[in-house]
Amino acid sequence: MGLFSKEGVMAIIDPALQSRLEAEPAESVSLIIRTQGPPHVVWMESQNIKVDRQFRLSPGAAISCTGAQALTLLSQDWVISVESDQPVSAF
Amino acid sequence: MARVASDLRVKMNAVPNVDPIPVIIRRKSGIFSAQAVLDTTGDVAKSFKIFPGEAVAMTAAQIEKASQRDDIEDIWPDLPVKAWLDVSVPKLAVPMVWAAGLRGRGIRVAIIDTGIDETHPDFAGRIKAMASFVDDTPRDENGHGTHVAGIVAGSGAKSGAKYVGVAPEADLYIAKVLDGDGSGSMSGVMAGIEWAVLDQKAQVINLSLGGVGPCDGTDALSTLCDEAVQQAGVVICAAAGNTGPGASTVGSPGCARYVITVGAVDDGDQMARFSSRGPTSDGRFKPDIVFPGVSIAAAQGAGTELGPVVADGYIAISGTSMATPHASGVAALMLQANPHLSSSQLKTQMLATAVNLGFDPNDQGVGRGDAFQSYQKALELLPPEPSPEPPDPAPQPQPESPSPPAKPAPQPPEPTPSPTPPSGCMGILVNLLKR
Repeated sequence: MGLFSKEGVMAIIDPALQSRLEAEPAESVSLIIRTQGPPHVVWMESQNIKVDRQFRLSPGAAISCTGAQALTLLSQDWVISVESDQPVSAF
Repeated sequence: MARVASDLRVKMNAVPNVDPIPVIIRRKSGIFSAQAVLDTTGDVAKSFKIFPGEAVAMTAAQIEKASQRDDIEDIWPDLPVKAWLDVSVPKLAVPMVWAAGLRGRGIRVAIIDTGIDETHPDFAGRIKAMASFVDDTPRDENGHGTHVAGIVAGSGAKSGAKYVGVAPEADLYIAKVLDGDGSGSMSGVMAGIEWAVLDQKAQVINLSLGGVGPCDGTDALSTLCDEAVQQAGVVICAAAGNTGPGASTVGSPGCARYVITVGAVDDGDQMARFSSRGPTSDGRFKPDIVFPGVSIAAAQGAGTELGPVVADGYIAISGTSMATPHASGVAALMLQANPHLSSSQLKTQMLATAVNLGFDPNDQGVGRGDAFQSYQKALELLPPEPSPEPPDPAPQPQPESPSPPAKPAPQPPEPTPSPTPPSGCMGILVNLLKR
């Protein structure tokens, strides 16, 4: 994946994640989206997408939603990428 | 088939077949039955939380049988603890930097981990801010964050100055992003980094955590780390991970381009088997450098039992988590020596002064870090002091100008000769800096 300006282009998503979202559209998922400019919080909340955190160093947000809701983000022109909010652990 | 450590093989051949041998088993995640190990082996003495594994006593025959199992990854001998903070810190020539008057005073170091035991005497008066991004208390309920903080900046007060961290006068900023099990999410770590950089103006960030490799450095956490380094000028030291020795096992954020990714060696400068290896999935060398990370004794969080107690208030544990805070401490000393160092300059100089141990660059990076050499390089980059103004025939009032940074004390009384980097070191460095 990489960060690129997008106009009329689907947001970048790992194919395996996209397949999972399509296969389990009702499943709850935790995701990180990176955006061009501030994330559209009002729009996401209107879609019942929960915004858990907004980031300040680079535009984006941590969100919780269903697979189907996540798929709607892919066509938003302000969404650059969608990825899983992966687990991390102490080393 | 499980991997059996070569030194354990030697021991298996040297003791009578009926004698139990203390071993540590690392199992593969998710497909292991503790009961199965009990059936195959003996009593489980201890279960570990950081990686899936147990300490057990087994006969040589039981070890042989266990080695045939598919659900066991590694079997190591459970060796006596021998490399402590009082060994690793002198090994890095840190006391020579202390002798020059530098102990990290005033440098803002953020520990983004499981929180901290703020009652430990080794941190008295130096925890400047704490925040939790996982629950309602920054108190360390795991012990990992307290141990890591002790390696960076423990004063050794509780041990009579036996277990002293690398930069024992640095100020600490604690972001709790991992819960009592040592687990968290990328977004929580990102929030902790933003708090440290934007709200606390941290100069050094220690990340003894991460996800599963491989990765290419474009995930959200790695990207945020790179932005923090480039935009805010913060130095980030990130653990390579504990899933070695297989190739391409460095996880995020260790695969980020601009962080200092740290692997682990033991006190004999041998690669720790567990230390994650490069390359990244886009083909870059990682880790960048190695520091001691085997059986390191440092502060114990009250009420936690993460490793064997070596003294009242101190435990010994292993991991790239323990190697990384050595790097963070050295970074703090370098910044005290030269506050003008950029994060890029600091990384370059820390890597340039490492001792090439002769391992593959995807095992050791450039080699094992050396605090005194890094400090000297930092001094070399101090801007020249302003030359005196030529005499003015008509003296006029001068505006007040800011004082130049205090130049650190001169060389220590008995400086040891600087080790000359072996010939291959610079070549490795050039390649690494191209990342």
